[in-house]
Amino acid sequence: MSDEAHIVKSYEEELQNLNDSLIKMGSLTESQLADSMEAIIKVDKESADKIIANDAKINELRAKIDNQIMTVLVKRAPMAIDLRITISTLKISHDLERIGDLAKSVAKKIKPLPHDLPKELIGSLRRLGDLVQKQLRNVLDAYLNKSKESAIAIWKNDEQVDDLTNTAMNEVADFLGKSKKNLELATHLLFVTKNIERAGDHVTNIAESLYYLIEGEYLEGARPKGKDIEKN
Amino acid sequence: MINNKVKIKTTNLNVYYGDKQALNDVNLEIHSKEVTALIGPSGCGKSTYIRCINRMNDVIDICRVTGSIEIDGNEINKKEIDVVSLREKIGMVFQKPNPFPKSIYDNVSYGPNIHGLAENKVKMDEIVETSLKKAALWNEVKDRLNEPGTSLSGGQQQRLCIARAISVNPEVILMDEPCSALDPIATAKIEELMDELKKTYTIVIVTHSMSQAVRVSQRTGFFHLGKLIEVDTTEKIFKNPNNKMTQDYITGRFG
Amino acid sequence: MNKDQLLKKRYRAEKRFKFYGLVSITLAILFVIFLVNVIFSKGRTAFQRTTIAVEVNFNTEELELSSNASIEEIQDADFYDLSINSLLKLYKTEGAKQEKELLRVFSPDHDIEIKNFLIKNLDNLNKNVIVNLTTSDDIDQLHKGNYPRHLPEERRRISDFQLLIYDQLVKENKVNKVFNTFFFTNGDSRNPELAGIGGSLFGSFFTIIITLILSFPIAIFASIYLEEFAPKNRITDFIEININNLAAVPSIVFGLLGLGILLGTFDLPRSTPLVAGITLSLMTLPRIIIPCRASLKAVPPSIREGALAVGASKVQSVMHHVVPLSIPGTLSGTIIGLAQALGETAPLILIGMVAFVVDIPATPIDPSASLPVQVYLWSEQAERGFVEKTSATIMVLLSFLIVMNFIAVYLRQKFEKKWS
Repeated sequence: MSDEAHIVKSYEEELQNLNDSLIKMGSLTESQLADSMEAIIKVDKESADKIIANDAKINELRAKIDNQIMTVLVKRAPMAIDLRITISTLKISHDLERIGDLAKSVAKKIKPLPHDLPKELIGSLRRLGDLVQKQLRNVLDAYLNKSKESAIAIWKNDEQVDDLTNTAMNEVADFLGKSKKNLELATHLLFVTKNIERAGDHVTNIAESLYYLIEGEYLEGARPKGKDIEKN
Repeated sequence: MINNKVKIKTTNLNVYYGDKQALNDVNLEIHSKEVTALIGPSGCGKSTYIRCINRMNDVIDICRVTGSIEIDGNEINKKEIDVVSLREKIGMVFQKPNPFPKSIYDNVSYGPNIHGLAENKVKMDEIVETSLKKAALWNEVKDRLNEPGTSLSGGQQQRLCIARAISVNPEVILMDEPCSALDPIATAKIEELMDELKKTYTIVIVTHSMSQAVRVSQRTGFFHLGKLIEVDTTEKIFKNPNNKMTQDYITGRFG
Repeated sequence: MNKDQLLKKRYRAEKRFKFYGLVSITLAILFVIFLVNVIFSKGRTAFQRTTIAVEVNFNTEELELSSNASIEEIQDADFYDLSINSLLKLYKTEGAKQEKELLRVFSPDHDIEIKNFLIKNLDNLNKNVIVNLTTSDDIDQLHKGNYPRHLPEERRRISDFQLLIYDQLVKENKVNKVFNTFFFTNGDSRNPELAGIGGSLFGSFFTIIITLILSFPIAIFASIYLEEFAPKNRITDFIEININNLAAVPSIVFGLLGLGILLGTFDLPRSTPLVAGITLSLMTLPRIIIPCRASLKAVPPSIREGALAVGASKVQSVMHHVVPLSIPGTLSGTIIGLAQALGETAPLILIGMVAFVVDIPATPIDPSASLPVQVYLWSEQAERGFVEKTSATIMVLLSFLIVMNFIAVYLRQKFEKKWS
């Protein structure tokens, strides 16, 4: 990052506005994800409606960021760090939007659920949800501080998300095995788990974009996979 | 795309104008048959640098050049080198189009004439035609070769100057901000021409336009206060330069 | 003061400034008109000559010539008696005093005029012919209306008897005005009616040619060397300062130089266009070098660079490109320098060009006068006839200067248009 300001103040302002929009979008996504986790665990159907409605805000913000980025590209023809900021912001905003969509689809799954979730399934699901939320919060903090180390840590942490997903999936499969009538609930929960895992993948994408923004290079090596590590 | 044959190599190049040092230990390799762009703020020494390559600084009395300049491994920064034949090998195009106040034909034939490159009129006509064709100007001027070169538009004048430079079959073409006086269309034509010319010639271009450097060059060198700060592939320089000063300059944060 | 007032004040100041400018220009134009008017009104009549028609009988016996005499024989013959006899027939005179007065109506060289007439018209031998003879300066001025005839006789140069003759001749339509070719073809003379600028025209011509031959190439090479080749160091700076100083040195100093060195040391012939030309070229050199250098400097450096960049040598870039481009400025600078030299008087006086020279110089080493010196010489003369001659010479000199300046302007504009 450059600690010096642009000679053109409005350029500096445009980049700052872009940054602000992304932060705003990040915190909105963060709360959407938290709300949807809360709602699924409590099977709170009222919040679910609210979450579904709120997703529109995230989409609006993404459209706004797209617009801001086009303006910067056209007006400033950004180079080097500025170019990387703009391109990474574009990618991060799309990942955030996807996380928002996933939160929304989690909320959609609440509607058909019975009033209570089986106790044995809540633990893993909550842990997975908490981890993904923590990852998202960390990556947003890392973005704010432009911290390369945090980005790498988050990227590596995706293993844990994968591991927890596997655990949660296995638990749901066991639950399904117990009785045929659990089929509908289990299917929904499988989708929910998968959605949360994919939200975690998007967080990893964001960490990669952030690393590229800071370093100008892509993170080396294949993305860590929980299962592969298990096998080793 | 990236060529690794070194055409011009300067080692510890220092230039002084009187007491003022204009270049400070510049070590730069310019690769054959590609476009090298030199960027940097005004007065950073990039023009001084290219004027060392064809010894145009000799014209200035108070200018002193030390260090080594090698072209194809031959040292040219020494007294015994005949600048006239050196400049036959290394053409130059200037910031402001400077056609001679003569006819278009005479502008192009002047170089071959003084170097005795054409035995007769037919051969000279041929040289003029191929030079103008290489400079992508032939179609525009073939019917008015006897009109003064100064009657052309700015962009055509600059291409005429390029034709003049290539008329003596140089190996290197130095361009000192060749598009700074031209409109975008004329600039685009010159840039297109450079893409074509780099197949035959080694081109060094000094430019103030970053986007032009990105568009036309394969390698870029950044000069600041007489020093070569960074040189790398153009892609690297404009996506992710190593030096903070380079980054601050190209992103418009300088100073 | 508020903004409105400030604005008004500004406009007032602007109007005032324009007014001052207009006044200055008007004054300058008035002075020029006045000067031209004075010179023109005084000098105009010098281009005419008054003649009186006289009947001459070219009697071969009286001239002691054979009827088929050759030109040489006529040249050697004495026409004086024939001439006197012809003139005396014009008016009835009593006594030697009146005869003398009648003869003094005419210019003293009347016999030569008659002889010249015969030489041009050889077939007039033994015939009665009307010849137009030049009048004396006094009658000339009287006829042109420049001479007051109503003064008492003792205060006039023309006697009452001469007036009688003049009036009679006018009545007989024998007094004519013809174009004064003498003014252009004759050399200097003590008699205003015969004096001409022929000698000084040739003197000036030779002088300017010598000045041109000497100063133009030297100035061109000096300025090219100084501007394009000389290293910029203290010596060249010193030379440059001195060239500028020399251009400002009063011309009389160059006259002293010519007197001391050319006449004193080298013993060159005094009063000749050769010495004048050398002296004037010394004076003109710096005045040509300065505009030459300026016009070389005005050639954009990009042209030099363009030539050098295709591999022209220094000399080639200068000779092929810079010098041709500087030609208009160089030529006009030279012409203006020569025009100044043409009008120069003081140095010529010092090298002896003030001598009274009757003969028209045939070569640059014959003694001669020059136009501005002729003006100076004639302006000192008392005779009325020289007043108009002085003004007429000034007119000739001015028209030469104007023509030269026009040529300079024309050259500059013509070539600059072509190259810009």
